[in-house]
Amino acid sequence: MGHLLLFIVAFRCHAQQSDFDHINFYKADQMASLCKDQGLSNMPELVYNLTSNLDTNVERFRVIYMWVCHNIANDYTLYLKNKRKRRKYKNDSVKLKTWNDRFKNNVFRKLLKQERTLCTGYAFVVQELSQLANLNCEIIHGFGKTSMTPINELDTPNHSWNSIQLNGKWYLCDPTWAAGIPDPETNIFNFDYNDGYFLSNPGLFVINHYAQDKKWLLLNKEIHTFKQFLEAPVLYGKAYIN
Amino acid sequence: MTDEKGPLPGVNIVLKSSEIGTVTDENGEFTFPESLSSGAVLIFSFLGYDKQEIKINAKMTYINLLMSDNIIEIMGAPNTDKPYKTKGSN
Repeated sequence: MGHLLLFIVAFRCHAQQSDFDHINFYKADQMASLCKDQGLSNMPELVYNLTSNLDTNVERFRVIYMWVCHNIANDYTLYLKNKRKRRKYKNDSVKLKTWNDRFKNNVFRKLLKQERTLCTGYAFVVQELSQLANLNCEIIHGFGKTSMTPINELDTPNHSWNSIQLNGKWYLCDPTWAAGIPDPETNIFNFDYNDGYFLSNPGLFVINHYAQDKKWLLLNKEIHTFKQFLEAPVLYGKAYIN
Repeated sequence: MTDEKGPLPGVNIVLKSSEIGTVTDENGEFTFPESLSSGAVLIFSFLGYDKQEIKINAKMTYINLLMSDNIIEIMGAPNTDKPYKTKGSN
């Protein structure tokens, strides 16, 4: 138990939101809730309304991220359907591509009209809104591991998240997992914002997020292999508390 | 704005290095809210399409642009707080 506590304390000291301890996100968070029902039909206008009263890039990113996490719902049905097809066509690149092309249009239409999506949609909308605010934001594809992920299915990437450059440094965040979780019984999505996925500590993030392109692990010289990722203990959302 | 299938509504158009922008209507058409000087750059973007930049010159009165899809793999694992269960017999 002593070891476990030390472990947690060590991580919390390095949570990267602390790089911005001198900035109060209250104003950004207020702006995000003021624009709550604005929708995605005019993204430049949404970005303007969200960011025009904020002075720093971290607050401008914060307001976009908060807006997405509180307005875009996770569509569990889309997830299940996509997962089934992707596994079915795993070894047939032509069929996989045909499925993906069709599904992609469906996903973006749903995102814009119904504000429902799955991970890649979250990552795309965070990137698009950030770019409209002249922020440098990347989409990271890779492997996400939860208590319900069968390890033997982690042979293909299953998750997407974002990296954002602030004051020249790259930070990690996961808008999908921050927004909430599907109800364990009904699979209906509940908004339940978790602030720990905003500018997360890369050392903690890597335990359940493994980027396909290792440079996006953002671990500097530390080595963390895919095998270590697979063997790591299950980490729940509550482990992420900034 | 069009793609291979026809007019593209909802394309984001912003003036580079500013937050002045607009979107295309249901016919894929737009009018930029401000007059643009020669040398200004407009950025056209839309979810799932390659971003394009167009430099404005004095002779331009309209822009006709074809947006192309970029290749995206769609994925999505939702998080959960369901307790982990082993499939073994213990």
